[in-house]
Amino acid sequence: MEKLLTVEEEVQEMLANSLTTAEALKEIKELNLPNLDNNPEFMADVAKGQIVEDILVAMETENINKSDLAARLDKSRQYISRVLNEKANFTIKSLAEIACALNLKIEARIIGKEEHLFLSDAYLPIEKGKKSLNKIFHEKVNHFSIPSDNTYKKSTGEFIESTKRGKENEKLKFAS
Amino acid sequence: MKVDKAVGFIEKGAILKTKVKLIDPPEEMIPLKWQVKHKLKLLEINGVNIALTGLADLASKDIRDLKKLLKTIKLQLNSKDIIHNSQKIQKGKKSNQKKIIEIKATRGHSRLLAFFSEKNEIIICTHTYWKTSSNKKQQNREFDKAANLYQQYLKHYKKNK
Repeated sequence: MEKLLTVEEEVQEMLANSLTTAEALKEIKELNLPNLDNNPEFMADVAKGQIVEDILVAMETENINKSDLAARLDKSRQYISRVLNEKANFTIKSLAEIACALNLKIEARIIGKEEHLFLSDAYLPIEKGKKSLNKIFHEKVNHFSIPSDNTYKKSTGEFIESTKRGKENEKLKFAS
Repeated sequence: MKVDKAVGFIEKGAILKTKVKLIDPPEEMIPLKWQVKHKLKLLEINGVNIALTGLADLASKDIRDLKKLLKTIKLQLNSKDIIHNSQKIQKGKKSNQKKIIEIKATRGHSRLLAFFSEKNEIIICTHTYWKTSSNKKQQNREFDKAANLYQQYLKHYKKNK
């Protein structure tokens, strides 16, 4: 009967049977792999995977399951499974329907190959006790908005808050 | 000097040292421009690269499965956190496997085991395997192997900190 190897022995065996980095790199170079960034099928698969990931994150944020989403969309649970298994064919309209059901929007863009779209962390589930970047951004925007009873000092570009409560004037710099 | 790839550089029967390095993936397979939110590196031990050997093997034997695996890699490299889709990424369940992730080829057989660096910025690949059965025994074993390689990396990392 063949003796079972321990994990350590198996790792040693793997190391003994593997190529050096230089040998493996040479082998890969000789294969002349296709450029996947020029492959529409690959591009579509990655986009589909990204959309499914976005849906899963949104479902987690909204705390809903497949049945809930199906009910919101007035579709069957099987349809949601097909979507999440990347077997459904998406149209822009079906994507928009899913986005609306999840209180989200879609941003479909065709961009340069060297460009990246950075999404705000508002799409990520927010940890308990932490603010989303989106909320922090809006708070900052509100902080810098001009209260109605403030005066704007044109020479310095500063807002001087009027003192309703008798405190000293507090200067708010428009931008730090 | 006699070189034993498995245990390190051996001279007169004594293990001198284990060299651990992190290697960039080949540009023709995983381009640098994919590495947006995370970087990807391949673990090299004593000049031997198990992950790269596995990827080279996969590229020569089953390009379709490699594409499926690369798709998941691209998605993970674009994502700030570990991706939620369990069909693509599986996290280790046992206590020694907590740091390990399995990157899956969706509806494919190839798997790539990896772990996150200390600051979670780099995904370090340990090895690949070909999933042959649907039971968890093989997967669990591969997670244990990745955990063993992670420990070797950790020892080296702590020593050179």
